[in-house]
Amino acid sequence: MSAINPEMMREPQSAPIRRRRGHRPGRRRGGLLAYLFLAAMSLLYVAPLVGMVVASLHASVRVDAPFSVAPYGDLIQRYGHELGVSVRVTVATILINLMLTIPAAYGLSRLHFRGRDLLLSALTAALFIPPVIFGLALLLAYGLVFKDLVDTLGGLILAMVVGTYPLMLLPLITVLRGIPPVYEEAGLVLGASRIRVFLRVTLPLMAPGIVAGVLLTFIIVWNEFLVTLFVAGTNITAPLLLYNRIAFSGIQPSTAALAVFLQTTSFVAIAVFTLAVNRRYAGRAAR
Amino acid sequence: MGRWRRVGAAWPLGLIAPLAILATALMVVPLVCVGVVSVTEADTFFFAPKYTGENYSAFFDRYGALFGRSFVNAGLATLAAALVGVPFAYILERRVYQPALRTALRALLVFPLFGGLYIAYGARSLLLSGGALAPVLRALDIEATDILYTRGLVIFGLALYTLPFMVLNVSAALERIDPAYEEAAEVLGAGLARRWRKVILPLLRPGIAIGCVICFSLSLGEFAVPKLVGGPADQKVLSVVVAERALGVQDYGLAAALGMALVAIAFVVTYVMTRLSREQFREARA
Amino acid sequence: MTRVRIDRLSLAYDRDVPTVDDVSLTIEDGEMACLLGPSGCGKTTLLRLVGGLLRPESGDVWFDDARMTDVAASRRNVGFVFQDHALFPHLRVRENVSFGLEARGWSKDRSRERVEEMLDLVELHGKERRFPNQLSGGERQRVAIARALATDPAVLLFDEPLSALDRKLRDVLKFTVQALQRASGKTAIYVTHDQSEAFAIADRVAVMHEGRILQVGSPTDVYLRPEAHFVADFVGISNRLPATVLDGGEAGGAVRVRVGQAVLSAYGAAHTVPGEAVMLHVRPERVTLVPNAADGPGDLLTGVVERTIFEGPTLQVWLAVEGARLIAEVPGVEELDLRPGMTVGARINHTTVLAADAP
Repeated sequence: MSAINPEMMREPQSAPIRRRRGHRPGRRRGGLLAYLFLAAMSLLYVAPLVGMVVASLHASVRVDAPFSVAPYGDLIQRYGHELGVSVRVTVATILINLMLTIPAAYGLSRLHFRGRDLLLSALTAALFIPPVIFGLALLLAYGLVFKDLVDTLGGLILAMVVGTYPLMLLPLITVLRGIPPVYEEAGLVLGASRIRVFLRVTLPLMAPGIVAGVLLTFIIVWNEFLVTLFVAGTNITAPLLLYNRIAFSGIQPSTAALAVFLQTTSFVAIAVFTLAVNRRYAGRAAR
Repeated sequence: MGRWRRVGAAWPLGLIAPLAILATALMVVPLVCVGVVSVTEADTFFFAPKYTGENYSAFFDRYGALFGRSFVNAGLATLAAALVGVPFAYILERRVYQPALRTALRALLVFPLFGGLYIAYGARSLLLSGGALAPVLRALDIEATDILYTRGLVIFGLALYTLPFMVLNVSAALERIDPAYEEAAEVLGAGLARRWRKVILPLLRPGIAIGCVICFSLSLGEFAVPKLVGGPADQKVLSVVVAERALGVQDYGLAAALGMALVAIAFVVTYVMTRLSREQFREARA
Repeated sequence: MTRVRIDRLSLAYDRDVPTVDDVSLTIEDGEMACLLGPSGCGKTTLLRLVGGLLRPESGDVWFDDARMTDVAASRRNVGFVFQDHALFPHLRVRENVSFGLEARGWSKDRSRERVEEMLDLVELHGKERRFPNQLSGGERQRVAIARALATDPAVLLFDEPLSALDRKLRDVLKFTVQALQRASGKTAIYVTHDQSEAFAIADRVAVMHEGRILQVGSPTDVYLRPEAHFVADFVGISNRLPATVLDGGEAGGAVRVRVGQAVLSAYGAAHTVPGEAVMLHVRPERVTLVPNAADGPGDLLTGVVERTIFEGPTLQVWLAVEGARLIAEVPGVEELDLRPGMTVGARINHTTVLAADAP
């Protein structure tokens, strides 16, 4: 659904080359230029958000309307239904992704069989299919083959699942490959069954990958509108409503407030999860 | 890690089967549908399907320029992302020492992850009347529409959207390269330009290549940016036309034929990515 | 108490692990046996076969009269101490030690009691709530041993348990391992590539090479009476001198051999016949140097000093003897005033005869 490289979720367990602390920034030629460059780039990246925040803090559509936080107060009242749909779709997608990808990741990384790498490549091919194609393909497939899924919440959730499961699968496989099999062997010789070893040893050690996968799924589904546009029918999600408003009704404070809200929740989720993972797993990684 | 005892071939497949079945039903079947629809005459699917090459000849006749525009946009955006993203990643990895600053810069790069929709909407809300930049534009005597709804802004938006993917890939590549190589080159008397040309860029080549493939593929598939900040002509790119043909005028045949082109590109991209990742993996191990 | 019998075990099909080739070995009840060999010799593979972490291609593993070959690792009741500890990083010390007890369905109270007992035994009382990364290397090792002992296993298996630690710690901990094994009275197999570790703690040592056991015996046997060139070379420095048999005999008896002009008495590790060209193995510290060597027959070899290396407690002297190099390790002998080019006499106090074509 989106070509997100799993590289971007920095893995707590990976061990990059140790950085030398020898040279100091001030001594470097072009240090000032570098910092100016960083500052300009930062400005570019905050600018759209600043634009939306400014647009949202008005009492009405009029250009000279007074400052107001009312658009945020009205969020739930105005968009409660769509946000509700979004929450349901996001939570359901995350849960289904977990149920499907945890066993699959285990099978694809721990067990040996012919064609394993090929299967993995095929399963992750979805990462590079543009959402517009996903939308069209699912629209046609629901219409021609899976007619029961047309205009249902289930159909929408399944569309999100199939578009995002590689983002769950890849971090899980990366983290599994990083867990030495010796922990599982230690569990076995201590008398635990395979299932017990999986639940007590493997699964907890997979936590960083699970967190990364949940986070990526959340970010994509929580903000997704294009595939939704094709298959949602009457189940309008918050981002889809946002798109419709932007496309057809111009800049309104309430729309801008919804955009800021969706981005802020996404950002907070990333910050909280990253801090939690760093705190819990920094230094406790297998050594 | 062959220390696990080999098990019968059946049960690993049992673990993977649910996912594989879902992927087949909702990825393979739908893509086959797109293929079939693209060669079927409209309204004949259900009873007596008639096959036709009309949709493909139509898109070559009427939509040739579409491909050119889509590819040039994606190509220019990728170029911009590379030209800005590589130095950005380098500065971030090698010149920023304060952990807090580094974290803050990385955090900023997270915003485009949420989608091109917000970048497009942000650009509009900045530039339109009443927007934060409106007074600046007035002072400079520039009409907002000289910037908004132009192809230039579309490409700029695509570059802004995809740049973090370039930075993340190049950063990851830099983390794997020992700074001692650059220090060695410097001690041996190589200046900044020479260090970049002879040491840094060659070592970063796989990382940059992967970044470019990702940026290009994302730009080509991006819908919200061309749709919302492009003028009527700039909206005539693959992704937008596919959506509008299908949803606007229900011309599924033509949408599917155009879509097949995007699917083909997606497969080429997947193939190239797999090759590049392997290459990078090999180099990292060597 | 358990006697472990390894009966003609082979494993060659698995390309990911070094092979084991038709190995048989019996470890007596309460004995500590060391599998000693270089990396890739198959010693860890053999240990994993005994522990049930690998399946043999052919052959059997017996614990007393029970055939264990088809029994899963989780049901063999072995205590396994892994290289690099393999303590579960997400579990506290207490939870690590009680892991096997929980798997056996012990009650909370009973297992807490057992954990305390175990931690007392390895002197880690008060560290129950630590995570493995909050422990020192030595403490981690002791937790790993406590975890392996907690379930009261029939057999203890150690896979290079000390290789991740530094030299000084290793020298202390090897005796801790030995003491714990002795106290528990359990049969143990200990894999290592470090001969001094093996010699210090083992009742018997089995030297492995390329998937086979070349020699099994007491540390003294293996060191002073090697039965293969590989064994002689692997456990310390060994000089090889070509010699001719004067009067031969069965393996295990005394043999008289001639090296140049000198006639020596040696231990015959192989069956020999008079006139046979054989190889002598001489340990450097079993050579004494004598000034102004007298010519003629006798037990004294004549050598020319090539170089001397001061090693602190001892002096290493390289001699050219009968076209071969003889390295002698002697206490500080300032009075000899050895210099390259000097001729000295060398007396060999113990040497072993091996067939020239022995492995």
